[in-house]
Amino acid sequence: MSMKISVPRVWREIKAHYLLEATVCNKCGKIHYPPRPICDNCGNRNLFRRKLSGEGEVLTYTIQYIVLEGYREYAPIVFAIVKLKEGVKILAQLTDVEPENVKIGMRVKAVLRKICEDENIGLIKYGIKFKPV
Amino acid sequence: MRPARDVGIVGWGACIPKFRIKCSEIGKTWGFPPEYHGGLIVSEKTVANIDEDTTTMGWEAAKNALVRAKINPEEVEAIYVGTESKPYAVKPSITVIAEALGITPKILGADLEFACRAASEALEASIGLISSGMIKYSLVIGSDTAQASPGDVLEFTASSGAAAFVLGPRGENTVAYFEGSYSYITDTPDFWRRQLAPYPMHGEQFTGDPAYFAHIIAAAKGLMNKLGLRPSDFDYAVFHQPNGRFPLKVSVKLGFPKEKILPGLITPMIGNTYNASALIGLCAVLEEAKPGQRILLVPFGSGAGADAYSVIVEDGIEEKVHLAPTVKELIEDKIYINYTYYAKFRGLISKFSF
Ligand SMILES: [Zn+2]
Repeated sequence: MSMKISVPRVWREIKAHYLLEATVCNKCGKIHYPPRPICDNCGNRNLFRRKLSGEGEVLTYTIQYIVLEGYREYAPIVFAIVKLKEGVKILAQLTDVEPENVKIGMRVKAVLRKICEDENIGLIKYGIKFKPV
Repeated sequence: MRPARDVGIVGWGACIPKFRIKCSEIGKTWGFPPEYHGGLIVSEKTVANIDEDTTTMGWEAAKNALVRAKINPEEVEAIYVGTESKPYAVKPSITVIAEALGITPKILGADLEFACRAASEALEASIGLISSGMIKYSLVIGSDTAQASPGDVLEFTASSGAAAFVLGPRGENTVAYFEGSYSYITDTPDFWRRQLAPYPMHGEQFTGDPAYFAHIIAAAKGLMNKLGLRPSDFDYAVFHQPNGRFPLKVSVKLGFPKEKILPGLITPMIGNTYNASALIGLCAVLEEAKPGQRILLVPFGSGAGADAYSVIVEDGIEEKVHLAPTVKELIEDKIYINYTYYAKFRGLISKFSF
């Protein structure tokens, strides 16, 4: 057997994965993505949800050639730290760009893409990736 | 058909995948004679990336349409996608699209199927819903990753893309409105795909005259008769474009000069995007049309049916053109791939797992 996607987990993470929904601390203002229930900066438990812009730039990146089972068709996968215009840094995949053309400082925007499929009978997982503007 | 109250286009958007394969590369792979595909008048076609499908392309086109519409997405009350390449046989694509646009849960919607004209059916249904006052805004999407059997002539043209429109009551924010429409549907066995069959079959002798030409001509003539219009009353005409040749031929039969067809004839550069085919053509025309101009739009779907619409462009359209990528810009933004990558992206080859 290869990859198995957890259906409840995919469902639970829909808002974060489809809409870049983060949690924001209403005390210190820190933005958490992926969303966290407790602020890791000040310990506050009172956080509210906010959709992030999806516009940003590549701070740094790495290219993964040896991938997890079920991801061979997607390889090589470019993972980047994207700094969004809100200032928050998030880890995300880049798409629609050849690895040799990825540049630090490159402007990118969020797009909905397929993340993986559970063989050909299971769930298809969608989420936000980033592509060059 | 004429709605009780006028309905118009508030925003439009396209998604044209970045990857392209040249038809000559496909022909060479399968041993066709050079320029065998020449008569199709398609030089290259789009290929959806490995992580793109009908849902993701539909989302992207819809996002662009919402940007141009300049409305709060939560005001959208219906969402339809017309497609013949649903990622799931059972599980709607629109639920993912709507969730990812942030317009759930107070919404109406479904995936519709009628070969390449399902999205046109969504246009008609939305015009009815809006005209009756049941809803304010509807999002209509045509999106396909068209299947073609490797080595079949269909492989030269079957491509991927999406188009989306936000429709709403004719008013200050509409940039064009529907003057009327005329539908023409019969049972014609020109093209089909059975359950679990990966690729469609085409009934060769039915493809041209009894299907495409008969239905488009009947719908277009029916509309012009009903509205008392002639080809000279239209500034543009956009037909379903399974290849580059058929729309040019049908325009001659209907009496439209070439210059009214070319602005909306996109298939020669990107291939046949099925449910998005005529609709991307309409997007391209909206991006150059001037207020007051009249557009004939005739989508067609195998099986078979065609709908003819008269669309009149209104004030304010020019300001919306550059709010999102234009069809022209999307066509020019491309990366060529060879048949090996094409085969991987189309799922013709995949890693076998136990
Ligand atoms: Zn805090």
